[in-house]
Parts: sequence; structure tokens; C-alpha cells
Amino acid sequence: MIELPEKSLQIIHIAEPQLGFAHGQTCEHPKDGLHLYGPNSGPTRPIKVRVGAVGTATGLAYLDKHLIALCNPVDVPPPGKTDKENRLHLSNFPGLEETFGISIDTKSIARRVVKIEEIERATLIINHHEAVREVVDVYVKAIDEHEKNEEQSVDIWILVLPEIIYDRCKPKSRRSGLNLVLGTFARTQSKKIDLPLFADVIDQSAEEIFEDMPNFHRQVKAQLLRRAKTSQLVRETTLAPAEFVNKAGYPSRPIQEPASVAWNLATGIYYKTQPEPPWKLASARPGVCYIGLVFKVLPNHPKHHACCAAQMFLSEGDGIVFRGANGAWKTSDYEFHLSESEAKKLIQKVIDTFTEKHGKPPTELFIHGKTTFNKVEWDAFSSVCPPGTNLVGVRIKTTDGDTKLFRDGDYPVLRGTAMILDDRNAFLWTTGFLPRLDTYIGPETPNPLSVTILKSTGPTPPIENVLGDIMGLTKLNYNACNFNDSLPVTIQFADKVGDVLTLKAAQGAEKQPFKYYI
Amino acid sequence: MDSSPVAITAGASDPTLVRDIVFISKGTPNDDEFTLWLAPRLEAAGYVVFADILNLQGGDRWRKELTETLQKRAVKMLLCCQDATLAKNGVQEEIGIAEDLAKELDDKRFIIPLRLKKFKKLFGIGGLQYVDFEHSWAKGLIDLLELLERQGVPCDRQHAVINPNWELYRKRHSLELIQSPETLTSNWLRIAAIPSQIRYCEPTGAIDHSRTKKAYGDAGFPFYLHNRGVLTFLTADEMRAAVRDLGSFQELHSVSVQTFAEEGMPEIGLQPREAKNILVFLFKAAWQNFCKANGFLEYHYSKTPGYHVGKAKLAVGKKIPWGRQGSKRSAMLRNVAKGKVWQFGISAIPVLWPYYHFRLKSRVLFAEFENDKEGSLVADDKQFRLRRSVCKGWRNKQWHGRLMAFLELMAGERAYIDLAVSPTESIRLDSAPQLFTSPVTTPLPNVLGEEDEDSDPSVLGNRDIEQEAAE
Repeated sequence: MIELPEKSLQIIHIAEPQLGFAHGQTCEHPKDGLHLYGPNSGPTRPIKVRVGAVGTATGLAYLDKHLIALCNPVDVPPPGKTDKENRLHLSNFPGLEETFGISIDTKSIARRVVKIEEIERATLIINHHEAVREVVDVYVKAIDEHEKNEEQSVDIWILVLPEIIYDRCKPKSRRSGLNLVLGTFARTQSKKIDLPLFADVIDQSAEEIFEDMPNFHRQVKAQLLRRAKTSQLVRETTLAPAEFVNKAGYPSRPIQEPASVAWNLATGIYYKTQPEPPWKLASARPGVCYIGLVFKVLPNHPKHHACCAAQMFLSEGDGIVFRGANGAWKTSDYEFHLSESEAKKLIQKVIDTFTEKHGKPPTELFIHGKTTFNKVEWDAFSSVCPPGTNLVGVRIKTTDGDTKLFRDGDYPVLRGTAMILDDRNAFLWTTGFLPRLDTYIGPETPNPLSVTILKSTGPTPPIENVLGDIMGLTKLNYNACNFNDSLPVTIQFADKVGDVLTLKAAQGAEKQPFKYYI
Repeated sequence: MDSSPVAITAGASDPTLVRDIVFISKGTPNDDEFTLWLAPRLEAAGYVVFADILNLQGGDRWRKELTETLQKRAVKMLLCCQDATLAKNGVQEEIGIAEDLAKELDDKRFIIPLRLKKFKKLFGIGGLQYVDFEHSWAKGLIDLLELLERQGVPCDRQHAVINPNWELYRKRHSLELIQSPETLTSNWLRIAAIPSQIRYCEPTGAIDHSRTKKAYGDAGFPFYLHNRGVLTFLTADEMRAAVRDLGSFQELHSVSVQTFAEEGMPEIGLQPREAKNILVFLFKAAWQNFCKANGFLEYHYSKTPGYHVGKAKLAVGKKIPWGRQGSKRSAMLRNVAKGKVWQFGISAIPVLWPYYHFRLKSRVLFAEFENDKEGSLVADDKQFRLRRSVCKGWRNKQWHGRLMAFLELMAGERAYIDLAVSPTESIRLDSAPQLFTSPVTTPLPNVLGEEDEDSDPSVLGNRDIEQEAAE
């Protein structure tokens, strides 16, 4: 036998990225920053946000109550018997205006009441595609009605969803045991039937519903994207958990404690109504731009064509989604690759927009993806990059338990821990024990991300920088007010954005703010 | 309006001191959150603010500094008004000082009460007009800023400075990151030694493919079928002895294992990439043979089989001690939860880069448990749901402990685990997982029992819950 030499690997720790808030202040926890200083580039004087709301009469009553509560402090409930004395991961919510400098006049909300019977009837239509589209129409028509007939403009539409929508209007929803009713289409039809010979005789436009996945959330987002409206979907059970309890008197489904719900909802409302996001990365290198590529197979496309997009994120602001062309991008089960011309076009759009905003092209342009880039793609990306731009391709993959690090005590490895395999490869724990919060938030024990610097047109950036950037991008989810997420924003929302882009209603939207998609 | 700092002399003691501080008199902890919200906003508006949360240490010396600041530097005192605050000795003392100062400075509005909650009138401040923060902090702030401006309190908006100590106080219960090394235990087993050669052997006679695979399998050593022959760690003679049914073998090519991984075996058309995959396959097979031979229960997961501590190996609820002397610990590898028996196990994944090692992925397998008796394995489609629910509260200590106990069960006192690959050679693994050193550490509680589970749903990280509030 041959003995192998002992080897080990370097472990480094990436410091928690700082976030920027009002008055040039920084801190690592968004809730701290908002409490102490308020949002970055926030309003200098309190401003009113005009809210529109669609829901059943009961749902809107829940929303009213909830929004009134949101305008006041919402405290974390006292610790239970087994809870820690200091639960640093929970923070009292000081109130919407106190935290964000925006307010909602609950008396002047544009209310559109939809009937529960109408929703119920639509969800029971035997063809699932048709059922979901009908439910979406109920909500979207209510918004259109308002836009057509009322002068009062709306900054954000809040859609209050009865539980039956959540239960019945997702792909593969189980509707067994319900009294389904016949609509226009048969139960089993899931694809558009093309009758080209009868194109002039039969109106086949209704068949378009089969081009979209039966998913209420995505379809509503796509419809409102076309109308350039931001929206917030919220379940009745989230707004009024006390009204939905099981026989034992506990909430019918697990809900976060009220202060966390308030933080998340308020952050979403702020993000979707204000020109700048509530916080930015404080220590990002100037001239850096990150993009995440999105691919999604078009439902029912005969040749399995996929849509593609690039999400651009800047350290100081909101994301932008650039839509590419649909095409035969799927090359194997889990891989997608662009053609030369499409790859060029997509990156050119990103560079042009960056240049427009900053007066010069980016110095470093990182493309984050879950897989590798092929030569055609990479050459095309490189060819449109100006000489001063270092294009860097980074693969970020989740792992599922094959690499763990254990500490000798109750809590797991620290977030920010990185195992350096070489100057291009590392494992990075974006979840883990958080000294700031004195706890680990997540199931079981944390898994690292596998990070690889695939290629670069200029010098290979230090792996520490690439890991630090990824850590920062785990803090830019403005859809909630978490200390961090496990995935960088470039990767995390790719599926959601892709889902929306595949929908018929979203077609034609070439370049849109990221906030319309989530 | 920007007001230039106004020099108001501090009285007889030191005429050079400028009276420009807005002093917040507050109770702890009732008014902490409010103060942390108000103070930075006043500072951002250009005021200099002081409150007794700027120093984390407290104590008599700090108390003295507070009093002196109020007496010598304060231009206004903002008094947090709610009954619990006003009942505090420290606050009452500050009110007394402020009342004297109001007279001394001839400023009837030296004390500005901030009403946080309805409060019982207190002698001395009962007649003062309060700013209402009870209904809205935001509106109260607007009123307060107007009031301070009206009263000409020194303010320098151009050079506003926000004291970093507000944030330090807000995170006072957080743990400090310490720049000191900490040992971390991985789930990687280093491969300490590998067989010297890998060989390509072919039977010398005719081949009966229907018998070949079974015959190799029965031999108990890893092999990889390729073309007419087999890639193996056995010599031709050993092959003949191990698979007698197949007759004689001849060794056509042989190369060191590392060369095979780096260069492949071009003579039989194997490129390095394929060669690496073959090595991984052989290493994995060696592990599987070892586990089966040692009585571990095999279960086929989607990619890699797992080997579990079944009932033949260990009784339910029995603890396996592990650890060095002085830090002995123990962990269960099988027990009953939610009406099922869970049994810990491992899937091993050989990896050749950046060096040769096995990664041990923890698994948990469920069996039926009725009338105090173990039954058959739970159906495949229910395994995943049980895994998510039963193991949700298992944390660092539990997973670490079970992995170490499993290795203890597997290797006992031995320093190595030898996975036989031929009658004379083996893949030799360190029996202890690899240790790594982090450059930083934190104080780390170690109070949970070996089998304690986390029961706080707010940290268990249900992503559905996290995200659904805002979509």
C-alpha cells in the first residue's frame, strides 16, 4: 500500500457584510439599521403610500386591522418557558412610519371587494388551468376596474388571499373530494390545441390559458408586471391567525410571531413603493455589478424552448430584470446554454444599463450561475465586455450534507466560515451561527455553498473577494427583513423570476425592475 | 433652520463649557427601544444627545458622569414619561437636578416631558406641556424637533454626528467574534493509504457474461468491468483464486493508483476523467463491502446507498460512548420517536480532490414500531417526511455526536478503518474525522444534553414561514 501525506485545508472567516442606512450609517442587521437610522435614501419627510387592496369583505377587514397595527409598534411576545432570555433574532417593530418614514392612510385605501362565492366557484372549475386563470381574473379585473374608473392612483396593490386560493391554485394542487364543476375545457386538457385550418372561423384565444402554469401567484405577478404595478400577496391566515385555529385552539398553520410578520410586510411595502431599496451594501467595491442568469422551460412548448433573462444587481440599488429571447437553450436535464447572439445581446443590455447609470462600464462584472458556461457562451459574453471590464463567471451550488463542520458545543459553525480548496474553489457557509443574534436560524445543521470561479477575462479575483460578495448578496432580499438568506439574491429568485417570465402576460417586458417579479 | 451652536455658559463651575447637550432622562429597560430610536434621529437633525445607554458598563463612576453632564452641559432635558420610568430613583434624581437647573438658567422649559404612555402627574413636572409620543413616535418627533428649534437649542445640521454607541448598546447581548483559533470537526475521513497498483486483467479463456458479474461480486472485492476484462486491485493470481469459476486471468496493464487518476490508462482507452470516475466507483464499492460485511443495514437512497445501525447491530435507546478521556460523550444511534424507530446511518462519498478522502453524509431511516415491537421499514415515500419532522430539532451537538458514535461503532479502538480491496491490500481511512482550524471563535454554550432537541420554532428556519409574509 502507498501511504498518502497528511493534508489539510485553510479555513477563513468572511466578516459579516455591513449594510448602509440613512445618514450614511452602517450596521450588519437590517432591523437594527432601520430602527436606529431609517432606510437608505429614504424620504426626508414622512410620505403617504397609496394602497389598493383586493380581497373578500372578510379579508379586507383583516387587512384593515393589520395595517392599523402596522402603523403602531408591534412587540415580540414574551419568551415562553423554554425560550432563551434574550432572543436577539426577534426585534420589536417600532411602526411603519417610525421605521421607514412612510405611512398608510388606512381610511383611504382603494378597496375592491371580491366575493368569496366567486372565488370558490372559480377554484372548483374542473380544468385546473382554467380554474386558476379564472381566480386570477377575479383579482386582476378588480384592479382594472379601479384603474379605469377611479382617479385615485395606487402605489401598491395588496391582494388578500383566502386559504382556498393557496390550497387550490398551485401546480399539482390536490382538489380531490371537492365538487368540481365543468367549465369551458375538459378536466384533462393541459395543452393548447392548435387548429390552424379553423383559425379564421374559431376563436382559439381562450386556449392561451394552457401556455401558462396553473399558479396563482406567478400569474398575478405576470399580469401586474404588464400593467407596471407592484403587488403584495398576503394570506388571510397571516393577517388574522387568531381567526384560523384548529380544534386545540392553535393556529391552523405555523405563522411567525407578529413582530416578524410586521417587519417583513413593511419591508416589502417600502421596497415596492419607493424608488430606492431600504438598505444597500455598505462596503461593496466601486464599479462592481452582479448578474444572475435565469432559464425556465416554457410550459407545453413542443420543442421544450426556454425563456432566459439576466437579473442585474448593484450594490447600491434595486435589481433589474432583462428579458432575453425564448429559444432552445436547454441542452440537458439540468443545463441551459445560450446561443452566441443571444448571449451577446443579453450582456450588452446589462453593460449599457450600467454605463447609463454610472457613466462608465463596470470594472468587474460577475455572472453567477448554478452551472458552467460553455465556450460559445463565454466567448460571446467576453466579446461584448469593454477592455476595462473584468468578466468573471462564478458557479454557486448548494450542497446537501456531504460537507459539514461541527463545533464542540451547542451551536454550529459560524456563518462566514469558508473552507478554501484552492484559489478558485471553496465551500462557504452562508448560514450558520450568528454571533450578532447569538443563535443559528435554520433547520438541523448548516450546509455550505460550493463556490467555483470558472473563468475570468482579466485576472482571477481573489477567492476571498468572491466569497465576500456572495455573503453581501445574501443580505439583499428586500422581500423580507431577514438578517441574511442562505442564497445570494442572484441565485435565490431565479426560479421565481423565470416562472413569471414564462407566462404569456409577461411577454414583451424587456427590462423591468426586479420588484415587479417578487 | 440651522442654528449655530449657542454658547450657554455652564454656570459658576467652568465658564468655558458649552451647554449644547440634549439630555434624555430615561428608565432602563422600559425606555431603551424608544431612546435608541429617538437619539440617533435627533443627532441626525444636528443635536448633541446624551443618555445613560451610551456606556455599557454602568456603575457609580458612570452615574457621576451622567449627573455632571446634566448639570454642566445639558441645554434641555427630555424626560421619558411613563409611570414605571418616573418611579425610578435615578430618574427622580435627574428631575431634581433639572428643576434646579431650570431655575438657575431661567428656562421654564428646561425639562421637556415626552409622554410615552399615560402617566400620573408628578410634583414639579405636572404643569409642563408634554410632547405626545404615545400615539405616534414619528409625529412626536416632528413636534419635538419643532419645539427644540423654536426654543433655539443649539443644532448643527451640517456637521451632524451619530454616536456609534447607540448601535453598540442595541447589540449589547450579542457575542463578540474572537480572533483566536477554534478546532472544527468535519465529516471527512482522510484516506491514509491506498493500494499500490490498479490492474487491468482479462480472463484467458472464453467469457460467460451471465456468470462474470456475479462471480466478481461474490469474491468480495471491488471491481469494474471494462471491455473483456476487469479493473481491479488484485493480481492475476489473486483473481484466479478469488473467482475460481472463471479460470485463469492475465494482467495486461498495471499502473499506480495515483498515475491512473492523473493519466488514465490509455492502453485500454481510459482518459483521466473516466479513470477518476472508476476509482470513485471502486472506492465506494470497497466501503459498501465493508459495511455489509460488518452487519450494517443497507438502504438504497436515490444516489448512494446508506448503511444504518439496524436492530441486529444495536438495541433501541442504547447509547454509544465516544470521545477522548476527559471529554467522554455518548450518543444514541437508534431510538423511538413519533411512533417509529429511527436508525442513524451513513452514506460515504469518495472524493479524490483536493486530496483523497471520504465524505460521510448522515442519514436517518425509519421503521415501524407497534406494540413495542420493531416492524419493517416505513414505505419509501414516507421516509422523507419523517426525516424532516423527527430530525428538525437535532442540532450541532446531536449530529456531531451521532456521527462520532457511528464511527466508534465502526472502528472501535482502531486508528484506521481498512476497506479490503484485495487479499493483501486495502484502502486505509483514518477512523477519526478530519479536524480543521478556524481563525476565529466565539464563546460557545455547551449546556444542552446529548439528546436534547431545539424546540423553538422561531429558529428552526421553516422557509415557507419566513417568506410567505411578504410576497
